[in-house]
Amino acid sequence: MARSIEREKEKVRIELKSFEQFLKELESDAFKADYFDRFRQIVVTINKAFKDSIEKRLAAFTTGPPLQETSIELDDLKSMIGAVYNLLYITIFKNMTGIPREIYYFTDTFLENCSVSVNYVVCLGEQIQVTDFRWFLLSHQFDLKYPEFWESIKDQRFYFVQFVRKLTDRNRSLDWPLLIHEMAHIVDMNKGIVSQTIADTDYYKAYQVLRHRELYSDEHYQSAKKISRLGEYVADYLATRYLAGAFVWRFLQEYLTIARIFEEPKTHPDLDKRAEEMIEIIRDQLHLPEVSGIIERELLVWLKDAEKTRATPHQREYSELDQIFDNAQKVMLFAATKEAITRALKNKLRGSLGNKLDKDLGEVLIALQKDFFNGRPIVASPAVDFLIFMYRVGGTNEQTDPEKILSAAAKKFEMDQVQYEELMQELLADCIKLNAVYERYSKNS
Amino acid sequence: MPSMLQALTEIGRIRSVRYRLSDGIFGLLSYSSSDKTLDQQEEIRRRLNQFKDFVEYFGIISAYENARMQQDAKQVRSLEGKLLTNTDIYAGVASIFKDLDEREKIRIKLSKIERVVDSILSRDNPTSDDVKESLDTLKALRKQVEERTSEDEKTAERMIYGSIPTF
Repeated sequence: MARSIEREKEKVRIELKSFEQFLKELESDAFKADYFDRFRQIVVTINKAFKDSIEKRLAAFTTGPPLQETSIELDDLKSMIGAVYNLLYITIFKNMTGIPREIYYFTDTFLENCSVSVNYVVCLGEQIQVTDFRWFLLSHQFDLKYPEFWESIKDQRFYFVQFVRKLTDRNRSLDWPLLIHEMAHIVDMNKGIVSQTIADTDYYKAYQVLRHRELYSDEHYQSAKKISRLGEYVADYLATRYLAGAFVWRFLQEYLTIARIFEEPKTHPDLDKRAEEMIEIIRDQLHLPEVSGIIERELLVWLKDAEKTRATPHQREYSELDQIFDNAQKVMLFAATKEAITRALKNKLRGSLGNKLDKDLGEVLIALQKDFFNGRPIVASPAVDFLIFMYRVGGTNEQTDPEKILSAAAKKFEMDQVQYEELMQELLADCIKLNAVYERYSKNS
Repeated sequence: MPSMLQALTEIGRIRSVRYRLSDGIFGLLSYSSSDKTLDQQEEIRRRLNQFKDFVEYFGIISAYENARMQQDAKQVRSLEGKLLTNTDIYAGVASIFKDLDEREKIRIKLSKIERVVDSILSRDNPTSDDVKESLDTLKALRKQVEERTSEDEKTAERMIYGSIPTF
């Protein structure tokens, strides 16, 4: 009998050996890029935690119970280890490939700006979402079923940021601000932005309550909804302060396409309420009324399409947001205020354009946009590059209407406009990368 | 709700119930083994205590439902606070055993088993008949849980590892 149990335990040990093989596979040239390092690091950590704890866990099984029952127990353990392996394996071999390096430059720069240093990977999925690896472990009951492993891994911060395939391409870089919103959830979870104001902010728990509304009183359901929605508002806030209007601009333009993969009424506030908050931030905190005007125009188009009317004046959904936004503001080193954007451009521009900055930022942005659309970009912080791309002054002037500038440039380069716009988005992706490299070098020199 | 979280909460509700029943089975089967190491004794106690926490949920859920029916807001709030300490178990128990009469019968059976567990934890040996009956009940319950959740569990796993979109 004892030998049979030993055989069952050996099967669990064999399950663990797959991690060794996994690590060997990760040494292949295909995974030499630095962004696979962070992934390799987590596999190494998990492998070590399993190896250090497995004998203790296996020793917990006595020879008393019938083999059949011990076998069930050991099978459960094996399936839990297998689940971790499957998740990691699929993440790297199926979901991480095809993520352009530029995306990591973009997301890393944002986290650095919030002084957050955590391990994460961007991978492909069916939705745009972020998952804390600890949620995965807790849902699989590691804390109670395999406490030795849980103890050694529970403080590891590791996140899976899922992005959909079609938005990942370099020629869709205008959609990448949507990822910054997801990264902002990581910032919130790590800096405790919502939890500083609202006690017991456990997003996993809140989702469980939202999923089973019928089980809870309305008070608790509303409280879970509030936690979840405050998390969304904070992510919007951080993305807006970091990128001026680029997140909400793209969000509104692409809403109908992305709603299914990005939104859920239970967990997310209404789009118009979110947009109004972001408009206020851009206008009152970033002091960019021209940009908030652009967003307002987009919002009005969306409201018209949705057959809704604008609720004025805007009523803030939760009074706690003042405090929470204040908490959020404190974690950011750079905010895309008019002053910061002007300063960033002053560092790059010389001559007459540089001299115009204090007088008319809009005119400078239009000139830079024209240059950009003619293949002469300026490499600056992502907020500046996105702003140059999205800047609109209204009207249909040949010199200031981006559509007309784009169309003329496409004609000049003998390309159709869609193709040309995709090329411009690739150029934007290049700018993101070049800026990140520049920042890194300038910090270290 | 993000699909990954949706799937994880599904896994959480299903496994929290199945594994807690296994805790009871494991503890009841192991406590009488001879030559147990101190670690093994501690493990048995740990598993039995986890099982007791699980049984307590049935009582809390029952009291909570009564309080809701009687519109006792103070009691509802207090009991809900307890239920929220482990939302996985609460969601699991309430969704797997939806029928209130069935759940009440299970609660009574589990309370009886809890007394057997208590006597083990206080080092009084229960009768072998009591242990056997408890084990039979727990195994039957676990089987029932497996039957009722296997499809949902597979669906959730497919959502995590990516082959179908959402529920």
